[in-house]
Amino acid sequence: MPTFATAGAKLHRSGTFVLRGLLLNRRAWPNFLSTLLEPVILLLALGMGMGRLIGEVTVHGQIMSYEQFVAPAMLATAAVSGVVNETTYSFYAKLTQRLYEGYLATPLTIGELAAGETAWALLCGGVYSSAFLVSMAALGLAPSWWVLLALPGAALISLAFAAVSMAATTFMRRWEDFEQVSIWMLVMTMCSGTVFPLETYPGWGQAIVRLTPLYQGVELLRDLSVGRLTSGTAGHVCYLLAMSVAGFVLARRRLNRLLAN
Amino acid sequence: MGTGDALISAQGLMKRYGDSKVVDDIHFEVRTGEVFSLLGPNGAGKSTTMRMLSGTSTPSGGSLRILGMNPVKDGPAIRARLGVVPQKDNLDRELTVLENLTTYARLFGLSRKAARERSVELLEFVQLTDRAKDLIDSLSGGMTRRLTIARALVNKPDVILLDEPTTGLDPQARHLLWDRLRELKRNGVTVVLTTHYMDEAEQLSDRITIVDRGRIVASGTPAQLLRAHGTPEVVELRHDDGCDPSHLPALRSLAERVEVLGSRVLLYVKSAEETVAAVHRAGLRPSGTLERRCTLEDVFLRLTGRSLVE
Amino acid sequence: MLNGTLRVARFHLTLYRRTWRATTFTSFLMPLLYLGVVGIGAGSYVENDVEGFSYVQFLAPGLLAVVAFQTAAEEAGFPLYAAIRLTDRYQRMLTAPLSLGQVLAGHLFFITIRAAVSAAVFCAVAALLGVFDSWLCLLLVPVAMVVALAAAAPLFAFTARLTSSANLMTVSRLVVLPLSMFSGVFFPVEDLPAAVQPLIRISPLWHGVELCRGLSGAFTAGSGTAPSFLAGHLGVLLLWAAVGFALTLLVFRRHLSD
Repeated sequence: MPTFATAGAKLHRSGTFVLRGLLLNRRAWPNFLSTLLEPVILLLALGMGMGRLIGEVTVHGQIMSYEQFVAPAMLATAAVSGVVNETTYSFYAKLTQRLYEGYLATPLTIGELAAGETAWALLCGGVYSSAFLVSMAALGLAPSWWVLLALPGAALISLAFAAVSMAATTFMRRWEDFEQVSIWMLVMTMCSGTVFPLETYPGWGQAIVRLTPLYQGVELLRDLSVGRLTSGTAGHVCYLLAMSVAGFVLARRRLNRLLAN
Repeated sequence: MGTGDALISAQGLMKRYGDSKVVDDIHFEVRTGEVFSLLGPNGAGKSTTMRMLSGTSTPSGGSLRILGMNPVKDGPAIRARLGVVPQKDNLDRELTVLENLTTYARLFGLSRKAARERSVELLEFVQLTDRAKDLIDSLSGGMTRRLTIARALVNKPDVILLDEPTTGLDPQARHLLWDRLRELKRNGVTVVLTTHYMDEAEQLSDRITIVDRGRIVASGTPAQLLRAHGTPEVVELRHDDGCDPSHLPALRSLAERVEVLGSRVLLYVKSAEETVAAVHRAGLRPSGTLERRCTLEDVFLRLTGRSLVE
Repeated sequence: MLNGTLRVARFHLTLYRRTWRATTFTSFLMPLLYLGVVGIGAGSYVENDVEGFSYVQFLAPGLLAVVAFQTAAEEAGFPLYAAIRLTDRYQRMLTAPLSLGQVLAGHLFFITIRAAVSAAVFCAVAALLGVFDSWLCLLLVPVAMVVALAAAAPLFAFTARLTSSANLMTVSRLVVLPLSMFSGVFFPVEDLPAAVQPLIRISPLWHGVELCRGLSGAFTAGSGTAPSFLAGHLGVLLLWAAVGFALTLLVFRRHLSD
């Protein structure tokens, strides 16, 4: 096999995108820091403030404080926002500046490009998730060591959202379209049984919410962080995996159309 | 491969976008170690041809072989030995000059150490060493073009493709770039470039193919083209208040060929000096005269009836 | 002076008429979404009255202030940065026969109008839903304008000094977001640790929230804060606006002449 076609060579090339991300974030650390702190701020607000007002919450027959209820949801948000930034604004900027055209004039293939960018996005998501987990523990919201299991769960959430996000970005035509991103992110966060228990919604609302990706992700994290592994958990995992696959297939097809005509 | 073998060979190359044929039945050969140019005005299909050469675009018809391989099937293998300088720079605006080179080197499989060494070497070659730590936005147009060329050389390519490399550059930057290209040729790199500047084609190239509206107009060395489609010299007569058509038969008898371009009349002749004397002897009084050598611009005008640069 | 200011404001309004659809969400839908989701969601869990209001009635005036605040922060962020550094809109406005003060005042006036429109829509819908007991709540609209002004003026000074847009998101995350969360909108500030109380009580948003809630209380049960407190909150807001404007004039004069 020629040297450039081995698995090692492919990894080396895909790794360029992670390296690139590290290089430029070395200089953009204020932005990095603020993205890190955002879910922590929300957790503090919700925990200290709303927690005091709301008191206790019953979920799946279990009673817990509001902070304990909301923490996995905020972890999911950290996992998602860590990834969305890189796969929307950043990705779109690279597409419109024709950066990828230059990169593709090398042995790099579009598949390796997509893999590399995903790896970088996952790294970002992983860092933000881990940082949040540490904050959770510092605030006393990590009941047991099971909570470490939430990390791979968060990684799966990051993967699923990265895939769909990249695919969606390939459809954007103007910078204004990105307003939609923050809008839907917010709607999703508010209305997916994350900040308030699902039971608050009427029956038909609950059915809809159960199908949304963030709800699935948060439920997965709730299960994992207390070590409750049921068939429901497997269901959430399958959902997120399917979402990842669908997102990547679509993204790949779109990238082929955009970058190689 | 020995010298004189075809490194790139295009036969009946065609590219269609929707209903229009942007490239129609183009054929040419690029031999190892030479400088080859595609000369033509804007819209001739030069950039499209270059994109097919680098494998970014798939031909709609015809055959294309680069380094003995098919760019559609063996794209990565070809690109490992190719250097591409596009028309519009696509450098990484978020990285420094040096980082642009080292990350690109990585895509060719160079180790971190090798990438750094090669990048430093290349910055020397294009005279950008003192700008290594600057961001792209602080560079001038000529500098970004030089950096793009440096980037295209990172993998020590056998062939370098340049799409209109000096468009938009000031004369000094142009000549600097031409120097670098000549040096590349001396080092054994095959250079393929597209341009709409006839001086660039004439002065740099070993062989040229002239294209217009996606089709070939003529091919050969600059000398061959000038001999076949031009005369040794040209006299330009300028008439500020319009050219009197009644003079034309008299002018036609003085030259091999006459072209009228607006307020100018071009006389294609063997000796400009003699012809100017003859014009004055005939009693004609143009507002100004210009004596010059015949160029590829004239060849293009002869073959298409239009000029290279609108 | 006033004529020039109004002309500038009208210029911005004309621009806005073309782009208003893009801000429909943040200006109109988002506050109502919060009111609905948080109001119902949290409201169903909060049994007791909060500071003498039902949760929804506690939340609504605060949301009004937050909308004004976020509208101002949004306008004084990237759009202003783009107008100064990315396009040359500000430079062109300054070459017209207008003083710097008029250009800035006109822009700020436009922002207060945007805040007023958002507030009016919110008030109307909230009143229709019975959240506000009386249509006097529309008096909160001018209050929203003052809150927007108090927030926009100092932010103008900050944005004018930026040379790269990277820090704008940082400001939004580390200033706008915490203030929105911790200024007594969703829960009383007394619940927060004593150490941060002084910081909160300086922020214009907190004063805006207190003012709005106090006024809405006055309309409803005739309960609520004493008029002197309300006047105090209003005073602080106006102070923020005035100092912010002075700072902005200074920054623009110094940094825009290059």
